[in-house]
Amino acid sequence: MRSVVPLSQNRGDNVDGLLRAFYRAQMPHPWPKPPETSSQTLPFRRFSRGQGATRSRWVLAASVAFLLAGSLLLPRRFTSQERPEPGIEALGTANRNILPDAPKMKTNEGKPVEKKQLPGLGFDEGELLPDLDDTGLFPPK
Amino acid sequence: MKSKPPPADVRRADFEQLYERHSREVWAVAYARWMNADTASDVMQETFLRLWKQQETGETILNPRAWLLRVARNLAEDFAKSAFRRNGTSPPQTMNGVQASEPMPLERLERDETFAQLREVMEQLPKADREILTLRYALDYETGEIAELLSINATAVHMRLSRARQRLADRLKREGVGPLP
Repeated sequence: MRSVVPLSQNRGDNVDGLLRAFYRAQMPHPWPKPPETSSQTLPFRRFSRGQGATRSRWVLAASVAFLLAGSLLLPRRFTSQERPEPGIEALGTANRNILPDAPKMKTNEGKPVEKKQLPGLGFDEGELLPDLDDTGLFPPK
Repeated sequence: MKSKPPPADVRRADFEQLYERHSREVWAVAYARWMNADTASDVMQETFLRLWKQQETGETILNPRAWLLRVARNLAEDFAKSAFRRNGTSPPQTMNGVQASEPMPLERLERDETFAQLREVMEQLPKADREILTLRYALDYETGEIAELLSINATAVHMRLSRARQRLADRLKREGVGPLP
């Protein structure tokens, strides 16, 4: 039984015709084929179940061995060469100058000290100040 | 429910049969959402790929049609969040959602213009209206078929279809979209 919805006379016919033509133009021609599936899935399965799994296990084992060897060898190497003197560690680097045989800080001994100009003044204080005549300012003693 | 999947060639034959039977419905559902033929085709392909993957796991789908339509609806909704939707644009052949595979004489231009206007008006309609109109006019489905697909009764289909068409006709009149040349 065809139970098509009754159309309202004139306008309904127009809308029906317009919609049919519209959808006909929109639908793909020819209709697309079903998506490819077999080529995408089979190689993946074969790889994951066969050689690939064994290979990845070997890679994992080698990585773990490398990590273990690294964690055993590296600390030994550093501790034999760069062991700090006992007692200094606790003081920290800022207090090394107070120790008798610790290296001294750099000083400017023997070098002429450069005069640094004060910012904004342009001359050294005391050098260029004019001598003021103070006669008459104070009562005679 | 899981079981051992059948051999690949049997599965492929089943898959193609399902595609032949339901791909147009899947396309129509996606098209009704976005009013774009390319997007609808992409959603359709992705939906069937997911069906294949599902079958590959040995999962039994009791109602493939309902499963496909549900996945297509979800994918069409997700499309809004995808990068293509945010950044992309339609290729020149499908501007205004109108495909241009033929030469473009004046009559064709006028027709495309009318379709573009119709598409704009349809985009303003509620989603449910677009879906029922697409099923009726794109797939030429009868009331009974629409009722089965939407899981509603025939009277409801009549009512919804009639109202959707009325709303569309009113808007077309208001926008001055005329009949085809």
